[in-house]
Amino acid sequence: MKIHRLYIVIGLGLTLFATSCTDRFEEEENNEPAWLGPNVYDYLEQRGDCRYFCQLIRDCGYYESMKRTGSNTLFFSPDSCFETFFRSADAVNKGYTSYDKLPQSMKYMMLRSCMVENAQLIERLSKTDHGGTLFRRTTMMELEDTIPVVTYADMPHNIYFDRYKDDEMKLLMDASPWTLVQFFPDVMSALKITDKDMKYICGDGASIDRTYLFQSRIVRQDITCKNGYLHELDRICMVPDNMAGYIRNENRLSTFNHLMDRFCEPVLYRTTVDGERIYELRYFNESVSHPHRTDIDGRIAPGMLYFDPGWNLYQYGSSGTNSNNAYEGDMAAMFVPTNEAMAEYFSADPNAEGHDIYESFGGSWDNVPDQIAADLLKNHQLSSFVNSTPSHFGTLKDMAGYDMEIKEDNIVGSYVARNGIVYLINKVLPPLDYRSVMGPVKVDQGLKIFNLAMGDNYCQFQYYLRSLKSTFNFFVTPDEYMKDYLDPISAGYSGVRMNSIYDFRLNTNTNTIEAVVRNAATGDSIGINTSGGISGALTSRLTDILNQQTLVGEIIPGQEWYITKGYAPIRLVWAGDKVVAAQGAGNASPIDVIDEYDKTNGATRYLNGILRTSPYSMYNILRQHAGASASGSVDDKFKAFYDMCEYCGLFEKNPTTTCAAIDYRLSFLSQYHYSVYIPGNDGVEAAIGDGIIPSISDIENCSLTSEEEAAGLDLEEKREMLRQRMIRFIRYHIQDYSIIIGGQNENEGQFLSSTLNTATNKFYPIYVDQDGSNVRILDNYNYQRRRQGLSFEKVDVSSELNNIMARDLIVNSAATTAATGIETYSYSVIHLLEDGKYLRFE
Amino acid sequence: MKHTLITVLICLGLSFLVTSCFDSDDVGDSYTTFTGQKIADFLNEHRSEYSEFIYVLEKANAWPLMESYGKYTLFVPTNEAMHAYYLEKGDGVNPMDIDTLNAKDLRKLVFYHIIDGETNSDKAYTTFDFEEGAIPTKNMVGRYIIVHFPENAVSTAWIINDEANIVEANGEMINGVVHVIDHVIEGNNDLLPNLIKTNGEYGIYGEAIAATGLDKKMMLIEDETYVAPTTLPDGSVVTTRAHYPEEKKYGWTALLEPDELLNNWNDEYTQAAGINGIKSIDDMEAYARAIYQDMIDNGSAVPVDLSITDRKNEKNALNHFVAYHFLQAAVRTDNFVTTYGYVSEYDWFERKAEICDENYRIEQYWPTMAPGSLIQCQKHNIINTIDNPCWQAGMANSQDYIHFVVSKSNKDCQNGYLHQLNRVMAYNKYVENEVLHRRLRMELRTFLPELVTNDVVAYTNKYNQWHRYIPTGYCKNLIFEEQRPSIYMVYYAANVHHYLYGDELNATGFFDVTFRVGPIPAGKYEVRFGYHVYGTARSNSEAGVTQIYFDGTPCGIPLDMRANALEGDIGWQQDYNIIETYGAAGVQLARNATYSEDDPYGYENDKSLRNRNFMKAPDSYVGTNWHNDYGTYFGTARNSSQDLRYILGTFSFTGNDEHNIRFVQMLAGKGLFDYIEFIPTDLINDEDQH
Repeated sequence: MKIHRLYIVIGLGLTLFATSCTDRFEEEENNEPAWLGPNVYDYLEQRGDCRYFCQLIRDCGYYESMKRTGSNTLFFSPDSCFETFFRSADAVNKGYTSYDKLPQSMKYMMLRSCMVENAQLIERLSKTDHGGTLFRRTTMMELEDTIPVVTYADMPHNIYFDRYKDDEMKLLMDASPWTLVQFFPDVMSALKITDKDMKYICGDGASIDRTYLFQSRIVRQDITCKNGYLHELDRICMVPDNMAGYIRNENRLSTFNHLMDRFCEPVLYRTTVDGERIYELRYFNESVSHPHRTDIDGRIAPGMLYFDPGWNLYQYGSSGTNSNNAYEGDMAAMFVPTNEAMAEYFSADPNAEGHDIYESFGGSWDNVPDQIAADLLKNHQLSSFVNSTPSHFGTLKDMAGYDMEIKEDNIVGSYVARNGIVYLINKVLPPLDYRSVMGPVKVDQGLKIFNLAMGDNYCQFQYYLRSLKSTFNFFVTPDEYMKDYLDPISAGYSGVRMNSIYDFRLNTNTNTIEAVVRNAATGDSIGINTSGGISGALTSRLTDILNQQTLVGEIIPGQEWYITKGYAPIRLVWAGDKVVAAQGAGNASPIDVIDEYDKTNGATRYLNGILRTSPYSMYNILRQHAGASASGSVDDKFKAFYDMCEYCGLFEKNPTTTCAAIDYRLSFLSQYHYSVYIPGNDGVEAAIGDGIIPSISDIENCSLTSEEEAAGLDLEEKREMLRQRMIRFIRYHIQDYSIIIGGQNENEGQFLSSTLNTATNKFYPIYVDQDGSNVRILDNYNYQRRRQGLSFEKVDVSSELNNIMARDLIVNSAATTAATGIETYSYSVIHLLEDGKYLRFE
Repeated sequence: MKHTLITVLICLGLSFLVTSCFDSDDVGDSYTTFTGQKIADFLNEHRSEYSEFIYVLEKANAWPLMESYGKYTLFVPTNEAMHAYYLEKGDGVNPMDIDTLNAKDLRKLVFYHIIDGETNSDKAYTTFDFEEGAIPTKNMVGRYIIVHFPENAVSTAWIINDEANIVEANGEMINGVVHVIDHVIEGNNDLLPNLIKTNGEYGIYGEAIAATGLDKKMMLIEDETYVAPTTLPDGSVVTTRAHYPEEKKYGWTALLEPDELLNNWNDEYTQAAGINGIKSIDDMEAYARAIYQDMIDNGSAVPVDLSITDRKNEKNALNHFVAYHFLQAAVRTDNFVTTYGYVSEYDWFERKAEICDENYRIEQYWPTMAPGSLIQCQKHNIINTIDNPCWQAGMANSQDYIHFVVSKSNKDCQNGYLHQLNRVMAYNKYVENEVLHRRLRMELRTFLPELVTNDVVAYTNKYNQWHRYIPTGYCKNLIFEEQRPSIYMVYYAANVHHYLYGDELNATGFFDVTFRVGPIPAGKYEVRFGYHVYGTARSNSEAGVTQIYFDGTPCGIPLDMRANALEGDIGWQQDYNIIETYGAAGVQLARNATYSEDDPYGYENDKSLRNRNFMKAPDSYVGTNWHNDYGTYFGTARNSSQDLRYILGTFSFTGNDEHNIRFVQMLAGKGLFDYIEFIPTDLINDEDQH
């Protein structure tokens, strides 16, 4: 039936178009099918129960159009609906108790917002011109048909509106076109909206077989007139508020609205020719399609929602598809807790989920910082109505990617706004980041630097830490202790900048992190580092700090040493089963734990300082024990090993043309943590004596045998071969993974050395025991002997020189003096082997 | 009454539209578009030879197609063939009267003979385009036409659907190609179980699938409840030639030994079972019990319980043995093993000799209907062997290995294919302990048979020509909720990039995607996930940060899929041998990556990457874009810094079970799910770079 009617219009249209080229137009003109109704206006008039609507048409100047011309689609309501409206509380409050009392602007709004261009059946209204599903459409409503004039009492109360305290203001709730929301059967089918969903959207009794405009039911549709189609509503045709407007006016949501008011401001829409200023209300938000990130003064917004709940033409994506304008297929959703739910959450009751926030801010929402308020508010926003209907509640994700904890019985009401649906809910949906180890940092106003550092503009650590099924031990440093940080990069600087100290601080105007840079020796300030952004110089330092203050995985009471996310070794100080302090390899003494929180994915511990990494490179440490080979050394225990490394050219300064090591680094180490087992001088001597390696002088003074000469080997080639033997020996003493006395226990743990077995192209293994007091090594040679049932031995590390921590740092400039950040690094723990011992791979 | 009037109005309108604005005298030559000969012209010229088929074409209103522009491949039966067809369809005495066929059956008969290349963005096929197996484009009734080239035949004497011979080939017209055939082709309209039962060569299997109830599991044709969404996801950047699958068909593949082979089969298990050949389903059960007894005695976790005598129980030995011969996807032999992208397949690839050593293989796996089992298949469709047909010559034609009997395979029906095997195939100790005890690299689509059955998967390069959105619930092993505006999954056909098989499976937004993968034989494995790094830095990457779970266990902290592999966090370096040999072109391959002269083959870098839980992509496949765009002929996926493997961890499996790998976004973005690898931990030390 519907389809046939569609054909009428097409058929008529084609007929008129085609015949216009002929002389038969006049002939056709008066041959209307008898079953076509009268014109729109006459139809309404002839019904006799649409007096108000006819009056509305006349008053708005559409009489001629509705009677004679055009092709119209009109949603109308009979007189009874008007009468009901005039008696409603809303109308009574506004003084609209009879038709005569409706202002002209209201009349325009009532008519134009329900007029759609072209004559369209409900079926056709459900489709875009390209065949896509059309859920929302704009109307003939003019934006400036009605411009509210508001006084201060009606304005949101915040610093932006305080400037207009003494004035009235022409304030559009939004300066984009209004849209109709069409719950038409074809639309609901395409969007997979179910009967159950409709119950929550349009109330009991609603179903997907019926036709609704917003929450109004279309009781009679597709009434065919000569110049258009009419669709009759069961209530007065009024376009609802947008979501923000509804939340503002709904008494049950005043607490939520009170918080939301913080994040909006008036933005000049236009100035009339009379010089009159018209503003629109904008909410600060971070959406892609309609962002509002800075305030009228150019400052970063105090906090941002995911999207602007007042944007009439809401769309989340940045563009449409080939079949839709982006707003046509969907709208937004907000789950707004009632005042009771907000009070239950933000309570003195220790069991209330928001109790910690309540306690932290003196029990007043007004004291809750903007960022926390914004985080809370926006967690109640979802970008898609279509995907957040009740039938999706089991799998719904919030916009941070967490499972959304909402059930049908949490819904206590709903409102279909012109840009989204507002579900009234009986619980607060707190941002789940607050349940993670990040929670204390986000709430505690004494941790603003760490909070910012974790965020999008700096280190983006939040995306790791929000993994609720992982386990973290997160060491955080309050702002007041974010000082005396020895900048590792500055070790490569010269003059007063060398080894500088950073005191981090917050720039409250820009809400950014800065660092006062001081000379380590004198303490004098030498500048302020403000280089933020994800690739900025400060971010490099802050990432380094976060990397070494984040432990991934469980910690075991009593175990001292751990490797952090960034591969740095840190030591925990225990008192029973409680961690009371932590120490980086570069800290002279442990840093106290001053507070601790158990969270869903681990523990957050406050430190009254910053963990430091070792300031020494492996090169530096070897030289400290290189005797006569290096000036300033304290002894010569590593001399033979150091000399071999130097002789073989294993230390390098510039791994690439764009980066440099601070002093020197071992060329084959990369970003990881290693163990270095250094044979003492007598150990090297034993290896030489056993014929495992040549001595340096052997290499230098070697000569060719007759066979070698016959084979065409030259002297330098022979030296290189001998040098390679030495290198392979050195490399076998360096293994992946830091084995630290007091660290993770190992029982013949298998690790890879740095020496390649050229027969298999795999690296020779090393087998290690570590029991908290000693490291004992079974090298591959002895391992293979044991497998063959031969005698074997394990090698202990020295009790004198062990657990020496080093860090080789590569910075992002060929000249270390010009570096701004860390390019890569490696951590090592160095152990001297017991006297006379060395490791052997074959 | 009204409707009549409407129709009149529409017709009037349309007729006025056309006629009122043109002078009828002008029509004349304006219809003449072609200057050469059309298929219709050809048929008219040879009307005496093809009059019967022409009659059917006209009667089915398909004649205008032959006159219109297009790229049709028409198989036209001779009059003799048509008469034979009428006789065959008659009552045994009188031939069928073609005029008694209804319009639907007429069109089916005609359209089975026509492939519409134009509509499918493809071409008209001459016999020179044929390759053994199916013609890549379906015919106009949605079925593939299978072509086979018999030994010693003349160059164009292909056999079509095992039903017809081409007697005159390659009549090239301006709107297509005509092949004259000596038999009407109509395909088989059975369901797979019936095809097996009625074929005549598979009596034992016909009985066995009935006894085990497997036949009842293969009776579906299509999920009628599936409705293809018509609106693409909001904000999707992929809109070119993109749509949801149009239908959701069910499909299975039977890989069967014929009775004759079974009857004469003798091996260690027939001996153990005390039978001389497999001559009945009782013999088959005894044979199966011998196989599984041997496995169980050797500690296998194969899910077979020899105490279960109910043959309909999937743990019953016969049931498991028979089920192992069925794939839950409709797979033609030409798609059984994907060779696209493998370095050995490209003449222009310069490093074949270096890479294609004894460890280089083209090797894939198929889950079967038998729980806890896999079929291994290698190049040339060689099944279940530790030997390597990429290295060892002659395997393709050797009767020592299991492969298809080509002339007896690709028997199609409404819901699957039937292929014949040359040897008995079984999931036995050798398969489980040796064939499958290796690095099992599986493209994630392996576990999504619906994509194979419904031609979502495209096996040849269709760069930017083929995008298919996958709706929630379409694949039983792919669990995710499409959510507006941006959570959706989309498949890209094989293309020019360095992905395994060249194709892509992407998810976007704040996705939470679970793949059910496996089964994998019990054992201890390192599990890895192959993915693509989008963008050159975190700041410009389309990707997100993803927490990966394996069987519910988080695999470390979230993986930042935005991270540039060249940064220290990952530390990817180019292999120096590439730089040394190919100079600047080698550097270019990986966005000017660093390299180390001391580490020419990248072993050191491999180790350090592993320390950080990463591995380079394999060197066994290649993206053709480097070849096409940069004129380089040597870079493999291993040389691409944008393709990585991430090590999820080491896991012990006590059963031959399926597993869940779940990807949950911590930061929204795009994720490319390429493949997953399971490598027994005892093989890691000796692993190659392939």
